[in-house]
Amino acid sequence: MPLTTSRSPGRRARIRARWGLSSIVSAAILVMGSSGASAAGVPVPFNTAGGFVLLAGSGVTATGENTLNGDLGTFPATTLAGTGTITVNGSSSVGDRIAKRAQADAQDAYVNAAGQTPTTQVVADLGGQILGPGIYSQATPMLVTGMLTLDAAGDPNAVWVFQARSDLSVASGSSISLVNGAQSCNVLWQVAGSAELGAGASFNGAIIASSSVALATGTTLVGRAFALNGGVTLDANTITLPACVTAGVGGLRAGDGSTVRKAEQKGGLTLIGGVMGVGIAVLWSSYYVRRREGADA
Amino acid sequence: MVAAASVGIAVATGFLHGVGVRSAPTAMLQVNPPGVAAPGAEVSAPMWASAPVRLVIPSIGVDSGLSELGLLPDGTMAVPATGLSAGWYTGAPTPGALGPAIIAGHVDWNGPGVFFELHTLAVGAEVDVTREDGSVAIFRVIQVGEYAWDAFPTVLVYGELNYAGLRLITCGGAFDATTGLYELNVVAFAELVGSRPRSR
Repeated sequence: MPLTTSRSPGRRARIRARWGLSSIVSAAILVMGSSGASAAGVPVPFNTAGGFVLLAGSGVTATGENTLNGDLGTFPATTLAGTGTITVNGSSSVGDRIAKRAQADAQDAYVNAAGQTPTTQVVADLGGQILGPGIYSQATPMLVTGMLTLDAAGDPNAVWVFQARSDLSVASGSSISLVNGAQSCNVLWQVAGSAELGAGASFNGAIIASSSVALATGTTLVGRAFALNGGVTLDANTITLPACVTAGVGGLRAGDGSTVRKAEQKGGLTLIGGVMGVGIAVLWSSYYVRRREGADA
Repeated sequence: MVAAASVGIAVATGFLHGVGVRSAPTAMLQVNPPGVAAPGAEVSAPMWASAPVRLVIPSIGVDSGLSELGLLPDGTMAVPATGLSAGWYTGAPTPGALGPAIIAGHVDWNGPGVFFELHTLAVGAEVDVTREDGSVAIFRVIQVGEYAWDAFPTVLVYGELNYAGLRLITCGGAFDATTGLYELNVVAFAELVGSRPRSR
């Protein structure tokens, strides 16, 4: 199966920056406290897996034309099968040391996500719901049928961690709607079984499945498809690595006002000059009066 | 054994295109800012990540190196240590890459600062960012807004984009001498419209 790759050595530097800030962000989240039904999730570090949009354990099977905007990796298998094509706008690590390390870091990310608490139990289909940031857990298969809205309420640092203790099933044509500052890079799907995205779905977030990940025909994903042990199946899909931003609080208040201060000082000098002028006039006039009186004597 | 048929160097093709044409609002004081204008039809595919090293805004005479700005312990973005040099925020993508890149500069510092004229920047103006790998990201301004400092447009500035964008930030409005702070932030929003490869 044809695989075309272009290099992107610069990506790793950016991922390091993201990782370094995550501890500051998590501290800020703890200080700000929780808003909504569940305590906010904490960003999951990806380390060397940060640049990857696809990681497979037992190989990749592709049908149709697929585009990966990010890095591809497979370990330990080196199988790239199927009749389709994969255009990788990034680097490709097939069965090598880089993919091995990325899989290890993806495993750490999985453990991190699976262990986050406290959790809100999911009992119904997530489709049609509007969720604030939090940690959402379900022991039975997690379903997304229709549109799931993730509302950050104006906080671009809001994090969602979905813990699917069984499988994740996204129905055909379903979608994720990110509103009020929600970012794809802050949505994580930890799947203990397998993840399946139905045809024509528009999905967001990093999917880390212990088994396999399958994207049906025409589905697009802004996020990642990581299959730790199983394979990744593609069918005319596009997976794009989302940009990740750690939002600062408030705006800038800098500048020293020197341009404004200079104008104020000019006014001040004028005022002082006026006072002096008046003072001199008073002194002179009193002198003049005294002289006049003196002159009469 | 590797089963891949061929692996080669391929030029990344454009994979994200803006749609539609939108008019460009002029700068005005906004308390509840409307959304930033959607990217125009000429928006260019994002570039690879590469740290920015130089910022040039020809129409307002800006030509500055770029320092790195991180987050301070209180969660606010750091500001450049000098008045005549701008800085790029390391918590956001590098200018030219997918997402909202952020460059901040002082409006004054013992006289005019590097972004003293930012509030006069016109929609359609060109902004060039030279990156560490030698390539140049070419942006075009799509909106310039002024926002009260306690109504900073966090989502507009930091929010997720499906194209390569740039936010230039400085202070503006009246200076409050009692607090030593400006009342407004000026933010110029720009989109990537082209690039120049590294020259030999």
